[in-house]
Amino acid sequence: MDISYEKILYRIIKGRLRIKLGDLILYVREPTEDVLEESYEVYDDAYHKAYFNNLFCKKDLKEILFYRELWTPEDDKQIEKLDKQIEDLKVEAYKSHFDRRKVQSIKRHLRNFETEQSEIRARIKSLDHISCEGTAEFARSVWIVGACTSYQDGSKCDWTKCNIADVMSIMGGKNIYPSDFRMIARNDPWRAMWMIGKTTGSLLGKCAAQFTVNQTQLCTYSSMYDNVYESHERPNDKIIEDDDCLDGWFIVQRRKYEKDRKQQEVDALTSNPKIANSQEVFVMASSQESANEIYDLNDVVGRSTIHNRNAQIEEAGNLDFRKLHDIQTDMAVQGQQEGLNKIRGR
Amino acid sequence: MARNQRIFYACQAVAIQERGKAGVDRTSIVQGVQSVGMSSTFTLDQVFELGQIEIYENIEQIADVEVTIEKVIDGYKLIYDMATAGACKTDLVAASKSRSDVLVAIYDDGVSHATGVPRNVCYNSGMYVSSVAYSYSVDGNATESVTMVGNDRFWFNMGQPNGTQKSPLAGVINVAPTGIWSSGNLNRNPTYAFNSGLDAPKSGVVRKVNVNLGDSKLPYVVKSQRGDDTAFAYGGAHIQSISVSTDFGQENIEELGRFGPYHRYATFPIEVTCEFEVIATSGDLVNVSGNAPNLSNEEIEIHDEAGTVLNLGTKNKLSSVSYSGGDTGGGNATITYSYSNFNVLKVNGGSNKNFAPSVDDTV
Repeated sequence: MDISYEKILYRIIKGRLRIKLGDLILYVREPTEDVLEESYEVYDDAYHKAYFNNLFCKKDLKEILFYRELWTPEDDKQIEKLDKQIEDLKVEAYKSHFDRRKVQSIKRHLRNFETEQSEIRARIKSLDHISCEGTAEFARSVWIVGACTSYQDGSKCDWTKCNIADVMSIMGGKNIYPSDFRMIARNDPWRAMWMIGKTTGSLLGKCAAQFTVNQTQLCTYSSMYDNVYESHERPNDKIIEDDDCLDGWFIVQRRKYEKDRKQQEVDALTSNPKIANSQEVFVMASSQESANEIYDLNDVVGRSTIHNRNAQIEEAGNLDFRKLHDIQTDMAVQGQQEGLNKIRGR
Repeated sequence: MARNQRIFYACQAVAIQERGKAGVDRTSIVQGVQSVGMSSTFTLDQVFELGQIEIYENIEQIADVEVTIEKVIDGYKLIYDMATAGACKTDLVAASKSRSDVLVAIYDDGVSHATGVPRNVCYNSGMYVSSVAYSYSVDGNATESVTMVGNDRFWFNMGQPNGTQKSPLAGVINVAPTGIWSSGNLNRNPTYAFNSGLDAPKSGVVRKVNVNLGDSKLPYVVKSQRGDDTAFAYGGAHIQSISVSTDFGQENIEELGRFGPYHRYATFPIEVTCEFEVIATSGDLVNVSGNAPNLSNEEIEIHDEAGTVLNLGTKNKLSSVSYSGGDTGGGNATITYSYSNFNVLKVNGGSNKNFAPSVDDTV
């Protein structure tokens, strides 16, 4: 593992960030539960203050974003679309993991999509700082940093001698990303520490409730890798080491699970074999909500067939079922198959 | 045609009505429906010619459509009764000839509001009853399942005036209705009550406790599996399930000059079967002698508290007995007695009068 990751690992284990401000060395500790508990009071006070100073609530910001052309409903759709595209690309990366060139090309597309998505999200959040919630969250963050920063000897930082904004700016540049956590979680020395900690029952020398946010996140990723290694369909090491390919594997597993779950739900719907084996099954729904749940039982092909049928029926007003496109396709396939069988039978 | 893909629709209501009747009123709505299955089968005939590898003509024969509806027995009109316009109360011959229209209304799949107006209606015209089954068991609701077959199926979009007012099928099928589903007032269409939450079973859904064994007429051997509880009919007959079923085996009669069949006929004699599953108290109690006939005619009539009466006549004979269970696994020994008769099944009970209060009635 690269030394930079080891540096991050020990930062996580120690639960603090070492910052150099000129000659001054400061430690910003991860907030303890006492600090976190108190910080919410700071949040509430700041929120009320902002509210009575007539700042906007977050839910009202969308209107302003819209008028300033920073957001349109299309952006939300675009985010969803990008989510889907990213998911599909990750699955493709998983399925093509043996072809490094293809994977590299997929990764380029992935990074482009992720950048596009984060740009839209940044635009949507661009006015958060003028909202009550944004102001209160900022006040809370400043308070936490103030309460958790100390000198090398452990004494509290004197904020008259240094600027808290500088400290926060340095901290912002030292965020730990999910890819860092994943790299650390699947490699030694942390992996060995994790395994030993699990068998001895003591990890990081404290109970889970006392873990810092970063420590909790690292343990979550470690547990995720445990599940991958123990899976009866364990992917090979190359896939495990590649975050995008492994995400693709997760998506494939999730889709498989959802398909199985749907199949079980469908089988439980009717015990009547005649109805269960019918081409079209109509299940009684008492409301639009239950109707939506029933429609969710369909897989992608089923949904698409319903959608196409609806469009066709809507256009025609009324329609002989033999004229439905899917029925005609089935008839064509059946005709071809029967024709083939007839020729073969001669 | 065997298609692998199953499509699930959210069903708003099912109506069975007189063939060619315009619109749907509330008495045509089948209450207590659990699920509906629909299938279609196409027959294609390939013709080739010498000197050409490509097909000469792929000829489409008449398509068979099938609809199976299952409902709980709840005091409302039975499916068989609605599908045969009451002929099921007379005899199987009359019931096998009856035709009806089956309409299945479906919900929209994309929007988050329920208006009470179905998006599409699947209209199956001129359907014959193909099979009927009734089931009473100790661990569930009493159900009725009816399969109907026919050759005409149309889909209607209810958002268009064509679907509600005009007669789009005139000239397309023999007996075309002058309107589909609603008589035009979409605010008071027949499904409105379903969305109001006021719909409730008329007699209560029939469960094990609602099977009226006291008034039922059961075969002697079934009654013989009695207990000693004098408070119950036959001392508690230990019956676990009763199922009655029949298959009409409807077949087409074709004629020259017509694409579709001009008639469907039931393949008489029609066997009606009735099965009783009983917990064994003292063996199956069936004596078999090689020197003389062993069976006698039995009268079977099943009653429930929803008013359903399944009359299988007086000439039912035991066709098989199976004894199972009672093994080292600790399971109970059960005996299944199968009786059969030919051409006798009268079904009474259930009514759509005095419907549950509906918004339609109060608007």
